[in-house]
Amino acid sequence: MTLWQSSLQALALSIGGMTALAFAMDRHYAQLRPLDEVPAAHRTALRVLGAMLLLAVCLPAMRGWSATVGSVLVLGFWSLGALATVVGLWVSARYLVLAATVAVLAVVASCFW
Amino acid sequence: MQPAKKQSGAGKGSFRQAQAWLHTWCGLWFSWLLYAVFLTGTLAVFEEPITHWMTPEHHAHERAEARQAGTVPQAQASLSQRLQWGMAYMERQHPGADMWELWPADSKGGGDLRVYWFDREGQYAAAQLDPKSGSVMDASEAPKVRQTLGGHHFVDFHYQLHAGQLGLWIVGIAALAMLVALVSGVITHRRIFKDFFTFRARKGQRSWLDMHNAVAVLTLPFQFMIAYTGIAISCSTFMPAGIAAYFGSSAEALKSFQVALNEPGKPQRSGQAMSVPDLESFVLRGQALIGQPVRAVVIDYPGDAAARIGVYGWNDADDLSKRLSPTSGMAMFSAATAELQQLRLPGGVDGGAAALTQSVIGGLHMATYGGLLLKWLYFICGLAGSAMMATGAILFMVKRRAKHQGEFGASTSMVYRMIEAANVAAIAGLGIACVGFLWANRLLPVELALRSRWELAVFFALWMLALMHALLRSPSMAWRDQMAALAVLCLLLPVLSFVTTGDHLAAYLRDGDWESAGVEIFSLAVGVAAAAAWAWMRRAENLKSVRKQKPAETSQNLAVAVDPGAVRKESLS
Repeated sequence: MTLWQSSLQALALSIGGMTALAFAMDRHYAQLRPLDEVPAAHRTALRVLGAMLLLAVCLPAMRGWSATVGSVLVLGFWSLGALATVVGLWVSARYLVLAATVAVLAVVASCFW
Repeated sequence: MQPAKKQSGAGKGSFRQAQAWLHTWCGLWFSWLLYAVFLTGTLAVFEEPITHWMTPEHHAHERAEARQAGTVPQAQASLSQRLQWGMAYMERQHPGADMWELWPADSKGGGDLRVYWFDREGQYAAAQLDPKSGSVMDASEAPKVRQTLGGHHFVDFHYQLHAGQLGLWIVGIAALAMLVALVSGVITHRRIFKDFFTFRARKGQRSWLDMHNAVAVLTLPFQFMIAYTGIAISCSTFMPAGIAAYFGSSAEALKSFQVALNEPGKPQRSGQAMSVPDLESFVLRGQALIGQPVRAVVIDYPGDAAARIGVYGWNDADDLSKRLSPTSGMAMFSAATAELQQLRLPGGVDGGAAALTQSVIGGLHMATYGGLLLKWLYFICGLAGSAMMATGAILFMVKRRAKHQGEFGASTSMVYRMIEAANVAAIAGLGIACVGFLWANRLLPVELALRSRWELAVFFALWMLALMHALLRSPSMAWRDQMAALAVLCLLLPVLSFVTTGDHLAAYLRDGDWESAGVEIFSLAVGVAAAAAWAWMRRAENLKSVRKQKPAETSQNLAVAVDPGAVRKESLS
């Protein structure tokens, strides 16, 4: 696997994770559905999903580079993913969900391909 | 009696209020300098591509080399032959030098053959030998290359402002202030997690605050790391007491410290003559020990019995990207006995854990690991850091435009005016100065004496002009003028380059010259962003004047309704 592939995977997972964490918040969930509060089950599921995806960023980062460099890069990819999520929420919350879902599915597909 | 709820000033109010005060003022007074340091530091990530773009005379040579590399490989002198030529030159030309350094070949065994030595003044001197014959290459035969600092200007500026030790101290203090501003900012930011992903556009002051918070909080690990490592790299300058206690503080003492730090175990001259042995066997042993092809062979005290021979390796780019410490391998031998005196494997250091930490801190700051992708990550986070300083400085004035806070008594309006001007010159003006530096590279005659200094002079002159302009024009007009200037300079840079050198973006892309293409594409992107900012400011200004006009018209209509004669009298007069 090339470094470019590892980076794309790490970035996609980071965007997916940050997006899930964002929609676990009332303010951003309301951008998708006309509700004042995120239903408790949704909130928990989104938080768990977000945390897992963010942890999963470690895999391509450490496999692509090394444990030491990868652990530093993880922080960078999280920052990049969070910035992309802020921009996505500003442009269109629905497109952000679509883009993040496609990105994470592409990462999953690339693991089997 | 309860203390007044709203208090401001150092040490006043609650802990959070005191931190807010610290964040505001520590941030503001250093924001202009920190913005300049951050923006130039961000550009310095791509020092090599910028230098490449700024030396177009090299482009044809590099293209020819690439073509040659793609065709039949040329007959090349062996490593042994190159070492012999290098030694023969040094023995003939510089027998009394304290140090000889031979760079026999690139990592593939080809490329240039270079030699270095310390001259009589103790300065580093160099010569290039023909790798086909071993004869000295005449510098006058080489194509005339424009003298330029290239991308190194941004490197030098971002850590010492082209002002040597004084500049280093100034930047160090600013970096310390940045750490203070970051910590106090985190404490001040009450809703750091609730507002984590929040950006509310078109909400005036709120939008600026959201933007400031977003770029700062989301890249916080990077901002902390880069400020801390920036200070730690220069710890021997900022914390000289330990060195002074052990080595003294004279120039000679500092030299001893450098030797102890960088060349541990370096012997003294013995005074007994001994010719330098054949280098090939040392090089072959060194290569085997460090597992890298030879980059340099360094001979300390050549011609003396205490001479030692150091073999340094070429770092493999792929290997380098996977470790935080960027050091290459090194094997040091005694010239007299061929005994191995010191061995450093790639990524290792000579001085234990503290030295390794220092090396890693240096690597973290200078992005020597991780490869090209990491450089892009640093570039984006660096831009976010620059945006953090810029939005903070702008936010300070946006708040006060809406509500005068009278912090400076009778002089408040004047100080606010100065801060507005400093904001314009520091943010837009620095952009103009940076792109102006690239324009100067293309416009100044190649033969001009002290050309690189003239390029620097253009950079600083443009920046000063931007400050004067910002002081003379109203803030809103100054922002618009300077954004327009930045847009024009950035958008026309590729055109200027084409007119003056004949190189253009399409050719760069066709030839796979991504370094030059990257510089021009980034310039175009900044130009488009500056033009968009100019258009946004113009629209906002027009809207403001329409809003101002409307109440005036309303009050005039009201006056007509109350006293129609008054308006008639006004129009007749």
